[in-house]
Amino acid sequence: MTVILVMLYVMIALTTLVRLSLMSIKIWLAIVALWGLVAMVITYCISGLTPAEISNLLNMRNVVIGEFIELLIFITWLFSSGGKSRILGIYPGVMICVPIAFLSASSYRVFPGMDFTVIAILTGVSVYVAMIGFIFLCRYFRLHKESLYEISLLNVLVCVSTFGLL
Amino acid sequence: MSRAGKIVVCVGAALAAICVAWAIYAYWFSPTRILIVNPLPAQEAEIVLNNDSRSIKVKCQSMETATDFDHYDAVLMYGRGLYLDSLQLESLDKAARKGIPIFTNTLRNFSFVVTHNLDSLQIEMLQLYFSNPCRTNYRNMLRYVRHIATPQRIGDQDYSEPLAMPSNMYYHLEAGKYFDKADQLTAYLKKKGLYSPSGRNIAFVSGVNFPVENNRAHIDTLVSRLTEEGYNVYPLTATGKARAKMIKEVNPQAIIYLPMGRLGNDSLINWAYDKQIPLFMPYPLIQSREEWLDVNNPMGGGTLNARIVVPEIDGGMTPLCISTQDASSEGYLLYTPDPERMNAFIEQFDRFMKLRDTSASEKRIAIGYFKSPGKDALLASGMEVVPSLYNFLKRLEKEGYNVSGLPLTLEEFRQQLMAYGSVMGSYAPSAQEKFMDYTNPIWIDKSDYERWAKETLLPHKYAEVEERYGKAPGSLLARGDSLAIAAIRYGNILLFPQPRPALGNDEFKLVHGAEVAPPHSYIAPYLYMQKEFDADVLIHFGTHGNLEFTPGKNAGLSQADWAEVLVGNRPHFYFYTTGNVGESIIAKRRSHAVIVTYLTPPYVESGLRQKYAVLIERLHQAIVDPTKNTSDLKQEIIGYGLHKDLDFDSVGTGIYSQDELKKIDAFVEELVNEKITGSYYTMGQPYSPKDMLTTVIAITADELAYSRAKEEYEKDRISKEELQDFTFISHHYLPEAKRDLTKLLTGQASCNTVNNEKALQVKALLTESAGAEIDAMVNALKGVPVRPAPGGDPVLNPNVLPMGRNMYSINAEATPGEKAWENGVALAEQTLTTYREKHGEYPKKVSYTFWAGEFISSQGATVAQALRMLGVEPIRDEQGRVMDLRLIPSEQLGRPRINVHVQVSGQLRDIAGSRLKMITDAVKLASTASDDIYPNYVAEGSLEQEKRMVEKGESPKRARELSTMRVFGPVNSGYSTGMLGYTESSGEWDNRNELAEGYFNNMCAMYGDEDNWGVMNRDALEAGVAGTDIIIQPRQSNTWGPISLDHVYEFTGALSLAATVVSGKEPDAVMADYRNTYLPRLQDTKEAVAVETRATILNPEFIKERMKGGATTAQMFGEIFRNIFGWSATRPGVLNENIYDDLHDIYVEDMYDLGVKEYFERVNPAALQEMTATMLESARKGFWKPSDEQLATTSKLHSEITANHGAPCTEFVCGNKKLQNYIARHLNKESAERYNKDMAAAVSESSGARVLKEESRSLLSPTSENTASIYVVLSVIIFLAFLVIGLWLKKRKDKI
Repeated sequence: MTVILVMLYVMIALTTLVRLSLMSIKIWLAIVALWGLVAMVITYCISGLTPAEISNLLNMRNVVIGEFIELLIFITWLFSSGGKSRILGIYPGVMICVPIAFLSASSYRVFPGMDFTVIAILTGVSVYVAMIGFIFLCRYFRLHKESLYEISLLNVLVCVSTFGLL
Repeated sequence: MSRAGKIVVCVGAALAAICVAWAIYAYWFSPTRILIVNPLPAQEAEIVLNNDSRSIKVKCQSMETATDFDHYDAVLMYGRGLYLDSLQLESLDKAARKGIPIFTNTLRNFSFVVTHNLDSLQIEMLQLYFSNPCRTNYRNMLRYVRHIATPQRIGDQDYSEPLAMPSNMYYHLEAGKYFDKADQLTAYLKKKGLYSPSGRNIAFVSGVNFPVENNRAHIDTLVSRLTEEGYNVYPLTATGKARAKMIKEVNPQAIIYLPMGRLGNDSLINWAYDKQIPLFMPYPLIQSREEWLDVNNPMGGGTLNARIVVPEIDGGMTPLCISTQDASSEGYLLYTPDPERMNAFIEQFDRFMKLRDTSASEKRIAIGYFKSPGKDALLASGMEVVPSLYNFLKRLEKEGYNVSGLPLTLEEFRQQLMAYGSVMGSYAPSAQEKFMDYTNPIWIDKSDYERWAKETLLPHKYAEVEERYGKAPGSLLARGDSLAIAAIRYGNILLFPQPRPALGNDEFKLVHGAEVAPPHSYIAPYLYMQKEFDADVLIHFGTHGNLEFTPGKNAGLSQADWAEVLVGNRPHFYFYTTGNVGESIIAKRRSHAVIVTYLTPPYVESGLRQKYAVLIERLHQAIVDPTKNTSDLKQEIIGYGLHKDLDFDSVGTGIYSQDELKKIDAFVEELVNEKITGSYYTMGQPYSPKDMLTTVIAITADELAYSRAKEEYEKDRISKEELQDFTFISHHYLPEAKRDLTKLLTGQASCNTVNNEKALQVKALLTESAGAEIDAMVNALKGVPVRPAPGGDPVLNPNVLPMGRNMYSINAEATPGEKAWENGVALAEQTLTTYREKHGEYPKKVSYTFWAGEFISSQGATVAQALRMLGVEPIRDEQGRVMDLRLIPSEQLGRPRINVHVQVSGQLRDIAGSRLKMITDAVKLASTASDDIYPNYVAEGSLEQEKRMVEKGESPKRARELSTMRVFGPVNSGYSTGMLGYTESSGEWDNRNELAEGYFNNMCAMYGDEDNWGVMNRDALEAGVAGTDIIIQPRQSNTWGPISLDHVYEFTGALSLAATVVSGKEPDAVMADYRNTYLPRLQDTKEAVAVETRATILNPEFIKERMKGGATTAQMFGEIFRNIFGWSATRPGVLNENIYDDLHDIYVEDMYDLGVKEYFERVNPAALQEMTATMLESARKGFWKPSDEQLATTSKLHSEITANHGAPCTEFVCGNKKLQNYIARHLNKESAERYNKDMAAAVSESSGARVLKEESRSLLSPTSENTASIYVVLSVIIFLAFLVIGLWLKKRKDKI
C-alpha cells in the first residue's frame, strides 16, 4: 500500500509540475511561491494533528477522485482551443497540495526536537526550491504538451489502479 | 490656495482640534485609572462594588496576569504572596519613571515590596485605608488615590480620612457593630434575644482582618445556623496574642476556625486541649463551585497547605469545604455558602458536641473492621485485631456503654466474628448461601435501602451504582428483594466488616477515568449504620480499609464523593497505626476521620547475632589481617549461602578478595542488627518486659552509638570515613551501646553512667502508650478532642509517642526541607557513584517511586533526589517555602544531567501535587539547558520521548508537549495500581508480559502539569519507562520491608517488569534507605530482600516470636508468601534461588520443629492454606522447580487443612481453578476427590483483578506507513533521477 501511495503522490506532483512548466515563467514562479507558503502553513497546522487525523484528511479515495478530475481538466485543455483553452489554461493544478501535506507530515520525523516554526519554514523553502528546480528541469528538457499528455495517461493508469485496490 | 490645499488645511485643523480636545480631556476630565494587583477575590469585589465615582475606573488583576503598569494612573498591590517576574518588574519601573504612584500594601514584612512616587504621609494614609477594610474606607481610598495620582483632574477629589476599625474585635451579624470585650458581645446578644443561657459558647475565628462587612455570606450563615441550634457564637477577628486572649475571654466549649494557617502557637493549642476544647476547621474555598466539584482539579498548593495541612497540626477536625466563590451578575466573586456542606458541618459539629450530653448507655457506636474474604483473619497493620477489639469493647462495657450480649471469653467472641461477621467474595456463591441461611444476618428490604439511598446519595451517583451492578439488591448476599449484611450487634454497639468495594467479573476490566461506584453490598451497611442503627459515632478499626480510597476528590469532598457520603455526618474516628502516616492523612481528608494512633508491634532481637557470631569474628580478623583470609572462611561463607545474596562466586576453593570480605562483613552486620518486629500488638496490652527492653533499645541504641562515635571523632580518635561507615559503627559502638542500655533499663546502671536519659523517657512513653489509644478513643466518645502529633516509625521519630493521638502531615510547599535536600543530594550522588562503579558509566535514566509516608517522614528527600539528578536545585522564600527552581550550572554540577522517571502513589499525588508539578518544571528547565559541558541526558530523553510518541501516533505538537512528562500514577481520584489484585489473580494471566500490560494500562495517568493532570496516556508511560537504568524505592520505616509489604513489589517489581518488557533489559533496583537518620544510604533490593528474608521468614527466632500472636499475626505469614510470589512474577532476580525450597523445609516439613502446622491450625488455618497454595501456584507458574516429593508433601498439607477446616475461600485459592486442578493432580486419588469436593462446595467462577480497559485508538495504516517517510523521500529522489536521465537520453536522441 505504501508503494501505491508513493507512486500516486509522485505522479500527482509530476503532472502538476509539468503543467506548471508549460506556463509563463512569471506565472509559475508566483504559483510556486504560493505553494511554498502553503507548505509552510500546512506544516505548522499539521503539528497539531495525529497521523490518524491526517489520514482522515488525506483520504485516498478522495485524493484519487480529485486527481482524476484534475487530469480530465489537463487533458481537456490539451485538446481544446480558443476561449476554452484560455479558461482551462488558467488552472495550475491544486492536487499537489496532497504530496505537499504528506511531505509536511513527514518533516517532523526528520527533524525531531526542532522548533515547529523552523520546521515549517524549512519545509516551505524546500518545497519552493524543489518545485522551481523541477520546473526548470522540465523546461530544460523542453517538455511540451505531448509530454503532459503522456504523463497524464500514466497518471490515469495509476489512479485507476489505486482506486481498484482501495 | 487650491482646492486640494484647502482640504488639507481643513483636515489638518480638524485633526489638531481633535488632538487638543483629547489632550484637554485626558488632562482634566478623564477618569483616574487605578490598577489593583493581587487582591483576594473577596477584596476585589468589595473595592470595585464600593466605588461610587464615575471619575474612577478600577481594574483588578492577579499577579500572574498583571502587565502594562504604565497604562494606569496608579498601581496598588496586595503584598501577601506577591511575586513578580523580571518582565513585570521592568514594566513597573517604566511606570515609576513616568511618575505613576505605586503602592504595596504590607500588613506584615513581606519580602516583595515595591513603592514609588509616594511620600511617607501618603504611604501611611494608604496603609491606613487598607488596614481598616470597610465600605467607607474603600470608597475614600479610591478618591484619595485619584487625588494624589491625578490632582489636576476635575471632580471627585474629596475624600475622608480613614476610619479606624479595631484590628482585633468581636463582631456579629449586624454591620458596624464591633466589640472589644466578650462581655460586651454577650450583652449585645442578650439584648437581641440571641443568647441562650444553657447554650455552649463557641469562639468563632474568621479570616484575618476580613471580611468584616459584606461578602461574608458563609460567615453569616454559620453564625445564624449555630445560633439557631442553641449555641452562643462569638465571632472574632484577631491575630497573634490578641487572638489567644480573645478566645480565652469567650471561655468557649468549642472553637470554630476558618483556617488560614495555624490557629495560634503551641501555647494556645495546648491550652485548648488541656481544657478539652475541640477545634473545628471547616473552610471557604477561593474557587468557583465548578472548580471545587471538578475531580480533575485537585486541591493543592497554598490552598491545601493553609486550609488543611497546617490546621491538621493543630488537630483541627471536620475539614469540610463550606463555601465557594462564585461570580455575581456583575462578574465579581462573592462567597457562596454551599447549603449541603453547611448542613453537613453543622450536623457533624452538633453531633460531636452532643457526645458530651448523651450518657454512655445511650450512645450508639458503629465499628467497622477489615477482613479478607472467606476464613481469613481480621486485618489491621501491626495489630492483633480480635483481642484488641475485644479489649476495647470490654472497656466500653466498663465505662457504662450498653454492650449486652458480648461473649464472656475472647474465643467465643472470635468465633462469633468469624461466623457472623465475615466478608463474602463474589466467586463463592455457595458460601454466600450458607451465610445467608445460617448466620442470621441483618436483612434490609429493597424499599428501605432505596429510600435511604435516595435520601443520602445524589441521583446520578445512585444511577452509577445501578448502571454497574443492576437494580437493588444486587447480586452479592441478595435474595429476592432483600439484601443481607454481615453484622453483629451487642446492645448499642454494631460491628460490621467493611465489604468488598467492587465486584470483579471474568474479564476484570474497569473503564479507566470513570468513577467506579461501589456495589449495593458495600453501600448497604453504611446506610444501615446511618439510617436504621442511627449511630452517634462511627469508628474504623485498624489500618486500613478502603472507604477513603473510593474515587473522588483528594480533599474538600462533597456529597458526590463516596467516602464522605457513606460515613455521613457522624463523628468519625479511626484507629490507625503510627507507622503509616501517609495513608492516615488520606483517611483524615477524605472521610473527615480523627485518627487515634496505636503502637507498632514491638521490636525484637532477631537472634542472628548468635548464629553469625563466629563468622563475624573471623571476618573482622581476616579484614584486619589478610593472612587469616583462608579458603575455610570462604567455605564457611558459602555454607551460610551468603554468596548467593551478594552474587559472589560459589567455588569452594580459593579465597574472597578483601573488598568482597568487606561487603560480606557489611551484609552480615546489617543482618544481625536488622530491626524486626515481633508478634502483632494488642491494644490495651503493654509490651512484655522483654519486648519493652528490645523495643527501647531499637529506638535508642543507634543514637547512643552515633553520639559516642561522634565524640571519638571530635577527639580525633576515629576518622570521618569511619564515622560515616555503618559497618564500623555497628561493630565498634553499637554492641556496647546496647549492653549499656540493657543495664540501664534493667536497673543495673544509672542514667549518669550510661549518659542516656532518653531511653528511660522512651520506656515511659511506650508504657503509657499501651492502652493510651483506648483511653483516647473512650475520651473522644465523650466529646473530648484527640491531641495532634506527628506520625511515623517510633524508631525514627520517638516524638510520635505516646499513642492515642491524631497524626498530621507536613507542609509540602516547604519540601524538600534543607536537611532533606542534603540527604537527597547525598543519596543521588551515591546512586551515580555506585552505578558507575558497577557499569563504568553514568545511568541515563533513573526511575523513582514516591510514596506519601516516605515523603512525609523524609521531609521530601525523595523529591530532592530527583531534582538533584536533573541538576536543578530549589529556591526558598523567607518562610522556607520552595518557590522556584534554579538550574545548577553544568560546571558546578560536574557530571551529566540524568533523566528521571517518577511513579507515584495516589496518596502522594493527593498530598504533594505541587511537588509533582515542580518536578515537571525541573525537567523542562533541564531539557532546555544550554552550554552544558557534560552530556544532557534529560534533553536526550525528552527528544527520545517525543520521537517515540510521534511513532506511536501522537501529533508532533502533543508529542512535544508530552516529551517532558515524567510523573505517572494511578487513575486520577483513584489509589489502586491494580497490580496487587492482578498479580495475585494468577489464574487469569499466563505470562509476565500480561502483567506489564496491566501496569501500562493502570499507571499511565500523568501528573506533571495542570493541563494534563490525570490524563491517561499509555504511550507516554511506555516512552517514560523505556531505557530505565536503575529504579529507586524509598524506605523510611523499620516496620516493613520488601517482602513484608506488598506495595514494594507492587511498585518496584511492576515498574521493573514494565521497563524490562519495553527496553529488553532489566534495570538495577535499589532502595534509598532513610531508616538510619545519621547515614541514609542505598542498598541493592536483592540485598534488602536477602536481609529481610534471613532475619524474618526463614529465621526460626522470628517465627517463634510471631507464633506467640493470634490470627492476624498468622495471616502476616500468608502475606509474606504472597509478596514473595509477587516478586517471582515481577522481578525474580531479587529472590534467592532456593527461597521456595527453604520455605518448604520450614513451613511444610517443619525442619526446626516449631509446631508450625499445629500453630496455624489452632489460630488461622486459612493462612497455612494460603501459604501452601502460594507455593503450589509458584510451582505451577514455573517460579519454583520443586521435586515430586516436595510437590506431594505441599499438596498433601494443603488438602489436609482444607479437609479439616473447609475451603478457605480466600481469593488466592478459591478464585483460581487452574491452581485447584494442579493441586488435585498431585494428590492421591482419594485425597484429590475429597479436595475437589471441598472446593466445589464453596466456589464458582473466578474472581478478577482490575486492568483498566484501554481506549482503543484507531491507528490507521498510514501510521505505519509514516514510518517509511524517509524511505518515501529516497524513493522519490531515485525515481526522479531515473526520469531525468530518461528524458535527457531522449532529448539527446532527438538531437541526433
